[in-house]
Amino acid sequence: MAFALRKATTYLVKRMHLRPVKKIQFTFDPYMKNVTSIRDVASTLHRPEILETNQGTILKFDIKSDRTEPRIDVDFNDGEKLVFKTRNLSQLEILDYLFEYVEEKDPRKNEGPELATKASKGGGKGGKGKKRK
Amino acid sequence: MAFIWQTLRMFSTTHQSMGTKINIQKPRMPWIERRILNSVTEPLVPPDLRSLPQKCLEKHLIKQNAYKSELQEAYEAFSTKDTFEKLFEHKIVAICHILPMTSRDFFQVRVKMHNAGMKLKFVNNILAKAAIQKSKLQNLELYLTSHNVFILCEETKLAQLMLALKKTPELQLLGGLVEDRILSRAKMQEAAKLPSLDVMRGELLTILSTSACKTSSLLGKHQTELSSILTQLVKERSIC
Repeated sequence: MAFALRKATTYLVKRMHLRPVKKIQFTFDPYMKNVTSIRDVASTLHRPEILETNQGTILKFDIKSDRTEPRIDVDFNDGEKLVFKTRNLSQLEILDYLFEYVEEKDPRKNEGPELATKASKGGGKGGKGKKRK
Repeated sequence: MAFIWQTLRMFSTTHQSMGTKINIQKPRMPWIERRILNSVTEPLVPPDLRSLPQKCLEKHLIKQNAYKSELQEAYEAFSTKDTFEKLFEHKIVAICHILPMTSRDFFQVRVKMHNAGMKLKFVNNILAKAAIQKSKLQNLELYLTSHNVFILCEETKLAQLMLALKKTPELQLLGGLVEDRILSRAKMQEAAKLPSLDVMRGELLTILSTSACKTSSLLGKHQTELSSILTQLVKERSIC
């Protein structure tokens, strides 16, 4: 079971991106019991490969000490907001729901894969091989 | 002699011809007498009537126990307890959530902490929870989940710690132990803004002496006023 969870989480993390996301705020009280999932999600979304997908996304922490329930506030570029109350959610569930929204709003959804042209591949080699007269 | 060898070869399952390859993939069917012997001596195992989850759990437990070792567990318990005893000899032990970063960025963070007079220490959460059970640090258990790092300082330099953490967004302060007291993040930030102990002692002394000064000034107010008026009057009469 643990292996299956790890496998599913790795699958999601490899495909995760933040292109349509404007801001994510993590609010939690670290002295409460059910904050493991929100902390794990925060660590996952701060991975360099996910941050690189959108340099303009703001990831903010709001650490409190007044027994507030853990929540994640996600603001998208089109103005829509998504709130996760993560007290009874696991890391995989949060990432799964977030991935669904992010894939739906992805601005690059209808674009094809990037094609590597001959010029871009052999441009360096052609330049070096040419003899100057 | 050759006949004896050939007969022996018919009954032997281990005999191989010299110079030929070993046949692994298509083993020869044993001779009839061998087959009878195998079927007669095959053990009769009673059918396993347990449910599938129980069988899976047994397999899982066997695999788990194969990695366990009493000596290793004892060593881990001892080393974690020893680490914690040394850890909490420091005046400040701040617990931070560490975000993923490249090794180069992590080196920069370590340098910043070193320049501020702090040390970084990593401890396994499961071992840490076991180590602090039934000790005065038991209430720190709730902080010990997910990705943690301990920031240690031998002196009470809260202001420097806050300044260093402000410059490192990869470390998010959760709380910690300051001079044997568990403080939350907000309390640590408030404590960092306080002036030094000597300044506060001076302020306390002035507050205590203010009431006495005020009482003495009120009591002698009329005498001082009278004496100042009389001196003014003497000066005016002498001029005239």
